[in-house]
Amino acid sequence: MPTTIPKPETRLVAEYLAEKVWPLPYKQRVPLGPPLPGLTEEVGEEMAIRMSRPFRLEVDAAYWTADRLVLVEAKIFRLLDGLAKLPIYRGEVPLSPDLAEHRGKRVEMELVAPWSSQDVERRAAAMGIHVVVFTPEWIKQVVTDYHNYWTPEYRQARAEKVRLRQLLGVE
Amino acid sequence: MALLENFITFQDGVPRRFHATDHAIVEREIIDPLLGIPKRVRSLMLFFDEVDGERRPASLSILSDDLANQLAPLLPERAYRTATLVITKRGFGFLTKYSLERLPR
Repeated sequence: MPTTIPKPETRLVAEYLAEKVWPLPYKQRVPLGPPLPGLTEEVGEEMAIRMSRPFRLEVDAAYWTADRLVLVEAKIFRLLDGLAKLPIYRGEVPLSPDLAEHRGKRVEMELVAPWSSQDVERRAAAMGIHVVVFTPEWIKQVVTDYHNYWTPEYRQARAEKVRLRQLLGVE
Repeated sequence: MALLENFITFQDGVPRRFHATDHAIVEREIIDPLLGIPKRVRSLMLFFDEVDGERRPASLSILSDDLANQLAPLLPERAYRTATLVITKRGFGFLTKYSLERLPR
């Protein structure tokens, strides 16, 4: 995503958790799903989980109570991607060693976004997803950066940056 | 694991538990791993009084925007003081990711 604010979706979900979820416990970047087939028998579960890391799914965050586990996905622009992913992530929960302590809990899904629409709400409701509108002030800068990305001035600046990277041998 | 371990390090996929008491953003000089030249970077320093259940001082120097972004909302008013932080590092190099867990104490 072209913006001067690094990793804006990471920041969005981090602020949402700190401001709206805490003091419930939470975790960011939660791996999902089982290790690769056959690996556990070969190297043990702990090593199999580590070796499988590049192939496992990951949800932006999760928080929990005594009787429920909530999966959280944050999106700034591509909200439909978040809606599509969450049910898949929910299906992985029973297979996830990282979430073993939460087995048996009711699993809920939340999409955190700076804005919503009737269509987003309708699609979310059809999939059992709760949409949380959370709009920190710095989102305005992300939107500005996104709109500026295709202007001639920004394209010229990017081209110059690429030229310098090629000159230094890092591109 | 190092005998003293005043400065925290991570093994791939192994979570570590901390209680943080303070933080600072410091500027320091490092050698760029790609270009081999010195450059100045900003680092988020976290100071701990408890590591993996053991009460002892330690510090962590964070250069990763990924982890810094996850910690950023906790910095004002030092909100991390009322929590146990569990940090897991996965991967290496450009593929490094951090997972931050915040648990009430």
